[in-house]
Amino acid sequence: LLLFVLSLFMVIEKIISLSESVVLISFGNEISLQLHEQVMQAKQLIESNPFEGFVETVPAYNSLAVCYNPLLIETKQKTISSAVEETITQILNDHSNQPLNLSTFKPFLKVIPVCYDEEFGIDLEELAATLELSVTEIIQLHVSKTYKVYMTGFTPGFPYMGILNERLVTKRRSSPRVKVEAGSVAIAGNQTGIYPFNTPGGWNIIGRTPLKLFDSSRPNPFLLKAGDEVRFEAIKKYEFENWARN
Amino acid sequence: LGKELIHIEQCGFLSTIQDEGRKGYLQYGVAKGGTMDHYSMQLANLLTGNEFNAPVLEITQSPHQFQFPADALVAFAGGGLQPVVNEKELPLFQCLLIPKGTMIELKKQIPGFRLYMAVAGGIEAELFLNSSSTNLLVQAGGYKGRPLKKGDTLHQQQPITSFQKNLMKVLQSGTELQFHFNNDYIQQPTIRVIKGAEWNDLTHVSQQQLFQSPFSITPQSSRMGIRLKGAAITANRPCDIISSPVTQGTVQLTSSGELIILMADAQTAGGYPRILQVAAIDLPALAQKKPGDAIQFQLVSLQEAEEAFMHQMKTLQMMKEMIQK
Repeated sequence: LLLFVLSLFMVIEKIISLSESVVLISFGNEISLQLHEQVMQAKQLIESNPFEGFVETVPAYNSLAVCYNPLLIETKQKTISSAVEETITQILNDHSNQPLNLSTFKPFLKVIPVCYDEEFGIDLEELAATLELSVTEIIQLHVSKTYKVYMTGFTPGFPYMGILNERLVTKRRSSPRVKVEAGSVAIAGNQTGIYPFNTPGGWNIIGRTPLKLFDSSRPNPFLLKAGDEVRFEAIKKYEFENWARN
Repeated sequence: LGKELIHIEQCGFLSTIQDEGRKGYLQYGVAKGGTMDHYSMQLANLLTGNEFNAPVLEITQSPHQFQFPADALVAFAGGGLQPVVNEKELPLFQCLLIPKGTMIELKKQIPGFRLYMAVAGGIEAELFLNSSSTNLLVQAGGYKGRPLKKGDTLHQQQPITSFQKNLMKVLQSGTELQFHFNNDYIQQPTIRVIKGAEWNDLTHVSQQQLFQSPFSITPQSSRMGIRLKGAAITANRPCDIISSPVTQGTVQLTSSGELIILMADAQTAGGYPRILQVAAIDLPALAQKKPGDAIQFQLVSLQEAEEAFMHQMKTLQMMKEMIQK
């Protein structure tokens, strides 16, 4: 219990300047839900208390970049970057000594339909052999957890989600495919992801979602963002086709 | 559509519409994009009386022919290609009146790698996530999300201002406007850098080697990253970090020992150690290097890097106020 309470406080490992316009905050050296929660908390604190010149943040597993426009910052300090580092530390300190208000961080849960038909899950057979599981077991293990979106990257909107059941942990393919179809759901390491666009890719493909991860006609074109939670739901091929048609 | 500006009669393999890039979408994994050499873009826009970030053409080294169906106010900056009209060379870094019917040829190679062309009123482009820059990966923004090709027609984004109208009249009367810009950056071999986030992971020997001998730009370089060949650089410990944000100018050390400098279209986070960071002041010089060119890293403090960059930006701002008033 003590550990749990402590975990609600923010522990900044270090804060440095990555460039003349980016400050990097590090929270520890592992992939964990707890560290990621701190990253997301810091992101929200900075975005809701924007300083003069603030541009945007970039969250990752255990670190957060804060981008700013140095031309908009006036300071009496020796450097603009040290002034920004100080401002950010101040914003975080003002709030991090209070326990996190978890209700404001209620993550958005998104259910994502996936067709695990062999036509889409082109690596399922091979994975079954490597992981010593049946295809049905792989699907069962994949849909039976709620995943956290740690970050998006690689291509616009590609969600890095974890953590997979340890029985699904596997390497990337030894040589990446030149083209992976948009919507492909894949696993690699202890992560699962979805390819938003037809791009090259080295993860093991286990199914496909009819949902568009990126759709420029939506007010927010991105289906998922860092901090969201995701559950997969197995659908039949005819359901996939109906979905894709609508 | 705005007024017709340019008919593309011949086009090289990678010429795109770019602006200063996108803001606010890095957290969704969208590259910033924008021009590789911001300084040249800003100079070209400044000279034509545009805002600094008006959409421009980023033209890379191969033959081009642009036909102008109407009078236009144009400026070239950067390098790589010499604009020519009827065998007469047009000056770079100047404000030029291009009369109706002119055909500009870009064929002769000159120092540098990327030529920027601004046209008064800006070049009309598709917006993708609030920026005109061409995102080649998603195939969105700029001109239909792709590099330009023969047969394309470019249009003017905005009506020209009264300042730009006056500028055109002055040039039409035969008066030449001369500006003197220091364009040494095009050929400058020295690239200033600051220590990267994982600088301390390098072996002591590698920390020194980075600054002792030059590195050369390899042909695998692109708008995503500039790949280098040179001394073997090694880290003290296994070469992987937990994926963490990167930015334009971040120098990564890959697990095979290769150095990659991330550029405009780079991913937003990466798992390789960030050993150096190119100072913003020298990103334009780097963008002007072509495969085979050599660069020499020079270590500076963050304070020096910041002062040099701020000085350049403030000078540009001052020039804009002087010229456009």
